[in-house]
Amino acid sequence: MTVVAPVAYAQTGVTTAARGETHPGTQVLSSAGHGGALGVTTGPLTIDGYSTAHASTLFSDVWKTSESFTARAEAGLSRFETGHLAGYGDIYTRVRLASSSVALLSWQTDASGGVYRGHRSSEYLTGAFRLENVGAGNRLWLATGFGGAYDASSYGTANVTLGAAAQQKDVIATGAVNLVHARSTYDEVTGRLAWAPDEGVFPVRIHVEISGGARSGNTLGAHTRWAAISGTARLTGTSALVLAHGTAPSDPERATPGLAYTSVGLRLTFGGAAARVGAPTTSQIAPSERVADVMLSEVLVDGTRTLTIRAPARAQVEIMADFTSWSAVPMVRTGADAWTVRVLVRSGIHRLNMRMDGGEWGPIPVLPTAADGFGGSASLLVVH
Amino acid sequence: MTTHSRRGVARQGTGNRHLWLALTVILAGALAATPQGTDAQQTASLTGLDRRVSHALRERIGLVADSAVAAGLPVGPLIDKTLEGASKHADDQRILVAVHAMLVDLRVARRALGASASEEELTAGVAALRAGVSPAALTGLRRSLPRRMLTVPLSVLAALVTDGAPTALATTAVINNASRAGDSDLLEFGRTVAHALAGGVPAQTALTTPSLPAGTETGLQNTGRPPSQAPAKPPKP
Repeated sequence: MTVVAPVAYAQTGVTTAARGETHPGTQVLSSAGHGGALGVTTGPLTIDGYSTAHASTLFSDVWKTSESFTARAEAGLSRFETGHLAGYGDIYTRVRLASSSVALLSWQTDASGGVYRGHRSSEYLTGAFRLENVGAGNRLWLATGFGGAYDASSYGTANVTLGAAAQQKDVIATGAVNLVHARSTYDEVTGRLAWAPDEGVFPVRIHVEISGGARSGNTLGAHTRWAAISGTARLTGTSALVLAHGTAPSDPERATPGLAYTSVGLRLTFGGAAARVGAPTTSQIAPSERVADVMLSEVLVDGTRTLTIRAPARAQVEIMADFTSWSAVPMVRTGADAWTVRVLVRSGIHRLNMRMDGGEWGPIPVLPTAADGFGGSASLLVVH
Repeated sequence: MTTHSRRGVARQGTGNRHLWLALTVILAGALAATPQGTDAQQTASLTGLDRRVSHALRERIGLVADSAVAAGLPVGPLIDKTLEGASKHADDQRILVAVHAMLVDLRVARRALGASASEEELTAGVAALRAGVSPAALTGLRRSLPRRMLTVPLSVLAALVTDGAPTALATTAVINNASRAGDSDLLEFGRTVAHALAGGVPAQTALTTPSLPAGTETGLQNTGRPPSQAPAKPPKP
């Protein structure tokens, strides 16, 4: 589970955040329900010192989210041409299944494979599993992966990653340490800063990322230090312009070469909610004797949102709603009187009830309340 | 370099095979994301009732669902109402009455909003109807915003009227704001009005004064009114 990117990924400029590394708020594509994206990028590329006159990438991903799982499939291919090199640079596929549950601890499993054809030939197949602890605005994850690669000869690969992400307003900082064995053993430190200002700050919604890393140990190939900058500008609700420039290291786990790239791309989404380039932010919340406030974050990377209720419960707050199939779901205490839960909720009007410390179910006082047809009432939650 | 060139040419055939393979994967993924048929959804939804309600009630709900499907109405709101009743320990007869009432309201909402109304629009329309908005007002909203998805405008309207805003004023205000603002701004408008109403501001003033500029969306939706302010009126029975 290193963050080293194959050629096509690096060229998209969206980097790992947009293709599923679950950092709060950095997501640009996922939504509740199902959907997909199709994109193209083009620009000059330098691979292991060989400069191409032109490189182009076609990439696609589709996702489907339910109350229990998020499934995602990605595929893409690159092609580059010069007087010296002609052929396909990189073809890859990846399938991901992750929990989209309300649990504090979430899991994610990946399988991916790819072929690189250029000045040399290589292939890889990997699988990875990740456990992630989700807190209010921060995350901590531990991941491990195993696989095999072929580059003149076959060899096995393994890695362990420890990562963390923290958010301050509309900036998210992510760091990870990777220990990798692929022919030789080495370690990497990677970092990323993502900035997604609120709508209205700029004429269009933008998302900017600066990422980099360094590798030590018995390293292979070019770029033992690397850095990149990418920007995504949402042109319409379904299209985004992607610009990227930087270097990426060789990836012994995938037997792909190091590269330097500059690219411009267009990304189109379909299905689900409109693409968002946003980050959930903290909010000033007024104190209260009882339930003080109810807030809902932007759509997170797995299609869920974080529902926060400020309530002075001693031990437990639960909700049940149409978006939980009217099953009781416990919330997690994330502050003195802040309780959160991750939910899969679509745009529209939703009805919910809550209870504190095992008491009676009832509406949430700060929300509009309507009769439920069963002699009680339910709160109305409007979501866009 | 020459060696690389020869290798590249020699691999064109392999490359073409990989190109088709990749395109096949992309197309297969896109097809996998295509929504399933209505019948399959209905079956899946009813299956979700298996461990939540009695067999007898499930059979009765199935008949109501059949009526909905025959009328081109979504089954989801009916299943949702059933699950809500079951979770609140309502008896079977009461759940059945509530589900029938939902079917009736869905029909009214569909008639008012048009045959092309989505499930989300119909659900929001039912919420508006139950808050006291007339079917004619829903039709007026549709005619005023013919190309717009009405899920959020209807939801905001339902919440405003539930909070005590007069129906006619709220409908006009929602139409006016929805015609020049996006969903996020419209939601913010609804929240601002709800705050004003809860603070004792007259509805006429509350519904006409706050007109938010586009692009005021924040990353976090604050969904409620200030905690110290009670609802302007009790919920409708």
